[in-house]
Amino acid sequence: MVQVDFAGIVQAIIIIVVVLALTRPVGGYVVAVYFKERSRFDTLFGPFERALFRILGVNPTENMSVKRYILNLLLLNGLMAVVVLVILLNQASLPLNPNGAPNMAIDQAFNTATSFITNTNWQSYAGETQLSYLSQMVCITFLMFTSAATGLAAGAAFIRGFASRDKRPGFRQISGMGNFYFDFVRSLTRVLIPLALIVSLILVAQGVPQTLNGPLTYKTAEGASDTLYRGPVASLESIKHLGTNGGGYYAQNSAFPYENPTPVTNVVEIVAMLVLPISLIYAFGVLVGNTREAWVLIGALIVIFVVMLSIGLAAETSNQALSNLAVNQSAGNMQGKEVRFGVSGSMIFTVTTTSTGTGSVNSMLDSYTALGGLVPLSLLMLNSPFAGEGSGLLSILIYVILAVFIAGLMVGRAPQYLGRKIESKEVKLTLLAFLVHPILILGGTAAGVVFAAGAMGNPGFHGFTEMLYAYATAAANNGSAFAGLHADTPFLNYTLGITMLLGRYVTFPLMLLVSNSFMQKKITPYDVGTFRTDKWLFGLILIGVIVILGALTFFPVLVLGPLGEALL
Amino acid sequence: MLKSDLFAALKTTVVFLVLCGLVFPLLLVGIAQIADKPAAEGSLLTQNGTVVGSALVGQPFSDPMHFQSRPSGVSNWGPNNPALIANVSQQVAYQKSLNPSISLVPIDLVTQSGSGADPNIAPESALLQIPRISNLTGISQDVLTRLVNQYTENPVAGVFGEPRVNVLQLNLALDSLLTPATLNAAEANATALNALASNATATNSTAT
Amino acid sequence: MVDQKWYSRTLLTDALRASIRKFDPRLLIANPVMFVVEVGFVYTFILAVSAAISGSGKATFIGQISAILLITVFFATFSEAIAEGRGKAQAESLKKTKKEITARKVVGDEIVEVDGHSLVKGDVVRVTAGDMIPNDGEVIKGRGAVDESAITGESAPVIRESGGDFSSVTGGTTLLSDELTIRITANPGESFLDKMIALVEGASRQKTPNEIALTMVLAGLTWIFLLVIVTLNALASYEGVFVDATTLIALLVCLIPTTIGGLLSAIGIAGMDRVTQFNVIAKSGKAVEASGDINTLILDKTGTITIGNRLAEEFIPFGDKTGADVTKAAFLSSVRDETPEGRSIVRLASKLVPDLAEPEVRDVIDFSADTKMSGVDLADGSEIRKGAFDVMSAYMNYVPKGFKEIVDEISRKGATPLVVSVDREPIGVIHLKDTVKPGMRDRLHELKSMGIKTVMVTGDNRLTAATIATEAGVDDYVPESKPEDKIDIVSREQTDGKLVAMTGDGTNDAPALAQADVGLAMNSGTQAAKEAANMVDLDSDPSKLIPVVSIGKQLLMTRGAITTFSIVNDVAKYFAIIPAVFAVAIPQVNRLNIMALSSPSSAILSAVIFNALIIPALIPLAMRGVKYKPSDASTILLRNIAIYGVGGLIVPFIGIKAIDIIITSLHLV
Repeated sequence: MVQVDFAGIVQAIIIIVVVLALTRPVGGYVVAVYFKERSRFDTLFGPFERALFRILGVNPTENMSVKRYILNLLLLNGLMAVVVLVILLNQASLPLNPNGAPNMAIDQAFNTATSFITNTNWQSYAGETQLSYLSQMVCITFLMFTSAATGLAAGAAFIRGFASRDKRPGFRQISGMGNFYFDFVRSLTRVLIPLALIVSLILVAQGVPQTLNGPLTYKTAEGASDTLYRGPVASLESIKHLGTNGGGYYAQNSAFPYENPTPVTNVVEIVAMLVLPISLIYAFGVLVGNTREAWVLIGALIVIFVVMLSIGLAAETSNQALSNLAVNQSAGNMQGKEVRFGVSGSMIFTVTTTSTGTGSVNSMLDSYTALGGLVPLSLLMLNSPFAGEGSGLLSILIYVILAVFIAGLMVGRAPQYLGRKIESKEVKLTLLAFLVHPILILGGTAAGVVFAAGAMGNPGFHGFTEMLYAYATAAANNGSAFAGLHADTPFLNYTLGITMLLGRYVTFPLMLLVSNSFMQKKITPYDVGTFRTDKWLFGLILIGVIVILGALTFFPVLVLGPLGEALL
Repeated sequence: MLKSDLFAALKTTVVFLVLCGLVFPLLLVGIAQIADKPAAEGSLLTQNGTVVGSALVGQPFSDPMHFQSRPSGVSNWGPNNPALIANVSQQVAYQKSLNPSISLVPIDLVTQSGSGADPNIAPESALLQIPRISNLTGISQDVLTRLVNQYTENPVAGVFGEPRVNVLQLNLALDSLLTPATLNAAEANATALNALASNATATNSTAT
Repeated sequence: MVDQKWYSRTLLTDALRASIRKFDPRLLIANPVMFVVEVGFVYTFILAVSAAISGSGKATFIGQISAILLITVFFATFSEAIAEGRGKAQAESLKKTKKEITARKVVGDEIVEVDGHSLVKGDVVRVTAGDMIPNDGEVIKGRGAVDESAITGESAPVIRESGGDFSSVTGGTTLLSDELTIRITANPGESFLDKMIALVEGASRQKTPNEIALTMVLAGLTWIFLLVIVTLNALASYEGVFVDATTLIALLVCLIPTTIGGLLSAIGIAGMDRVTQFNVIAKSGKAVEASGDINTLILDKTGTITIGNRLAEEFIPFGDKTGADVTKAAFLSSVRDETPEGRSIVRLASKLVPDLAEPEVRDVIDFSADTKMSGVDLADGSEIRKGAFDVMSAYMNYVPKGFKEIVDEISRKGATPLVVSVDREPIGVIHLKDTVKPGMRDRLHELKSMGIKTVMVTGDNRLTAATIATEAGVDDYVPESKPEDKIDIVSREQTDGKLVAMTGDGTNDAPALAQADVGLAMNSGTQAAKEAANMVDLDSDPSKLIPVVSIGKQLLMTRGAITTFSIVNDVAKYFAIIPAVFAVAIPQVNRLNIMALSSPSSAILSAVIFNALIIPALIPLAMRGVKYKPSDASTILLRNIAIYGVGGLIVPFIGIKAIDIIITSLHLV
């Protein structure tokens, strides 16, 4: 008997409504940050930013070619990763190490640096014991901000290629990709740091620690000895979700009460994950001159979200394997879940974290039922379609371009998106970007099961799923895990690190080149013969293309993992 | 051009490492310590002046006169992992031996949580332990029921989160009700029951 | 030209032969999907042979798969050959006009008889009635009737004369009357006819931009499935499953988009063929493809929207003048006017007043677009003129009151008023009637529903233009324009990002024809116009642009529909093959065998057979294109998705099940 969890459904609906209500104001703000000549926040941020640009020695108004934009993005990211790598390798001898974290091994340090620079936040370490407070701050928190800022910058640049060319008052006139440092710095000064400040304060008020005091060893109520690991948690936790990062302060991530102590923090974190990705899509709509273009995309994504959530909620109502035991499963499959969240609070979080590029978890995905675990895994295989700062708008636009190309032909015109013809050059670049994802997942998993089969924490199909999940999450730059996998082996640290690098730094340049190519194109105005991408029908087609392409690519591998297990 | 780009990247790395990695968290430490020091320090609970844990973080309770919390540890067992099934049946046997009157054990009492430190159990999981605790402590079931209700948190706005009881807080309140005399009697009963329960567990685990 | 059935006997035998030649991997690599199938065939063939030698029981199964792969490739090459064959058949009929011709070449003052094929550009030849015109050229002297039926199929002869827009002649046509001196404009083998034959034969066929992009998408999908197949054994090794090479290749071939891969080039060729069947020669597939994309259609009023020639309807006297006065004046003004309008005036006048005498003419004033006036000076010194009101009012001694009202009244009716004067004194007005072609209104409405904006270009004044525009239902019109203005209209629309199509025949249309995205030149037009355009209508019917647009749309739609069909087909194929692949090692996977196929090998075989058979099953669709009813994009899209998307999801489930039943009952597996 399937029990319908009405409170869970209401909770999901409220969250979606809240996120949609925030879309316009936050999206409008995002537009002002990157694309408007001036905004009323200039007086607040302007002087600080001008000082920053002076210190950095960059001219934020200088327009960059796409090549130069990409080059600067890669250069800065590479440099930051190297600095972090060096700190991690030497953290034991650096200050602010009250918990006595040892130096990281080179393979794990490489994995960690690539994981956080790519906005993946896959963790093969346990933060509370293996990272010093300094590393938590200047490696983890730092890269959480800057990788998100890089993603936002790429998103803003990408949008420029599609922007309407109508002269609109107040919008900055840009004839190229814009300026990387302008986008990067403003992402931090105007978006991420202020929002993170607000969210952090809410989290502290709800009980998330923010202290420099070290771990506290104490006697429990029954006299056993125990340790409470504390630290600057709130400051990490806020940007972890706003920046769709996902790396936990603790090994147990957002399941651990200090990261996510109450149902309120749970909702705040869910909303924080969704708000910027959706706002970025809305900003895209504003820039292309038709917000309905954005609402159709948002609508399609929400449909996928709701369908996935429904499957997940249904799957987690009980674990059939326990049905012979004297267990009352009315609360659902609670193995690996927290009582304060229950099945619905856990599933909403999980669907959010995997449909955006976040990857934080408030329950142990490895202990989900086969179909319940299939939900986050599928979302990763679809390249976390809400994306967010992990891959900007880029991953959804890959699907949009492919959908327009295939379905667009059926109206009897050469396919065009936003009035721009999709020709072989764009098709080639988009397809390459699209291909990277399955190559990394299938190739990586194949290598993983052959060379690292011992790393699996569960036997049978489930163990396979753990490995598959690891490469899917790395390729999608998500970071969530089927955590039973013993990920801290040199093989997994290196191959997953490389997977994360390719997942991000191949897709970004390709899609920026696509955008640049669209920027050069003639724009044909819409008429009744145009394939409309701002109508609900396109939303359905997009969902169809996403699901069918995803299913066709991953069906066999799913049979070997979660489907094989579900059919048992 | 490349050289100036490299220089800009270098300066940006240093500036934002300081800004995001140091200034931001330290500023928040400052604000948090002023705004809500107890929360910022981890919501610690004290009993007789010593810290006995955090209101947010769960801890194991093995004393049968205490409300039991969820099994400790994090395993990442898959749904069909034999180890999971063995562990759950062991926990079921344990709970049934502690609370012989129940037929089905609520799932939260026999499964591990996500954090391994779940501070909560479901209210019904607390309520079913009342007869045992009442027997052991001599505190009337009514009082205990009221106590459980007092420490039951309901979903925020009726929908966010699940109804739950904070086990540590509940047990601390329970402890404060116990007089030294009742405590001694209770201890003896509890030890006997505990022996019985661990027996049941042992039998069960050999069976699996 | 007769619409051929796609399955005529000679066509099939020729196509059969051609399709075998296309197995050459060097040719096939241009079609990545089919190339992969061919490689799969070769590989399974080798496996089958070695299995047979070693006496393995699997040899039959491997052999069957291998044979089906071979057939799959054959179906694809055959579909292309069929499409090309139809083009060749059309070319054959054109070639017949290329007979041996003896030409009379003008060398200095002499005339030398030479072989027609030896003529080069710049040579001058003389052609007399009954001769075939040896090559493309331009009439430099004379005037004569030419039978162009060999090219156009139109039996009515056309007049060709030196100077102006009717000076171009085509090699292979026959002069019926008089004598023409022609300067040859094409080298041997480069004549218009040669080019057309080459085009129709597909000899110079190149992939169109959209075809290239689509081929890339198909190659991308092929890469994905290659990846799926290549990694499968490594992945499955974890569960201790090993999938044999034949099964993997079968799975791969089923998954890669063979249906569209096999039919893509046939669709393109057939699209050009369909255009040819309308007696329009497209110089490239790109032009046909572009016509599907057209946003704006620039149409000449005269000849396209209206019947062509304005005919005199009535003569309206003014003031104290009588009907006879104005009839006579109109007659006199037009006696030497050879334009259709002029002749219609003479005809009407002779009907109204039967005994009008031919006057003695001293001088003829021809009409020109600049003066907008024509007439004669008679021997008695009187000046008879007719012309548009604005030029006439400047020319005449005075414009009486009420005169303009009469003129405007005629304009308002969409007709053309011509003012007639004798010795600069107004006599009356000739009412030239302009009739919208029957059915034109519906066609223009169709265009509108496809989202195509129509712009009517006319030399008429604003009032006349507006009335015709409303009557015909065009979206916009440009009155009082000269042919030279067309290029501005084209550029203006293009700056707005639109793709523009237009028709033209005159030399002064050439720049605009070249500028337009689709330029359809009339075969009756000048060589310059035909060179500049990317399509030529052999019937010289400007309204042909409308079916051409439909064909372009149909072409793109067919590609999209079969691509969608091909991709969604894979869902059913997975449900056939995946259980077959894993069912032995992972028994529960057999629950995915929702079609209840009888055995793993029958499932695989059925899927591969379905995959092969669907190609010839869709050849007729590829040839004739998906059904297209002009409508807005959403309606068309919904319809195509319902048929080819949803249909493509369901059909293979039924098809594979049916094949499974058949091959099982025939004990083929």
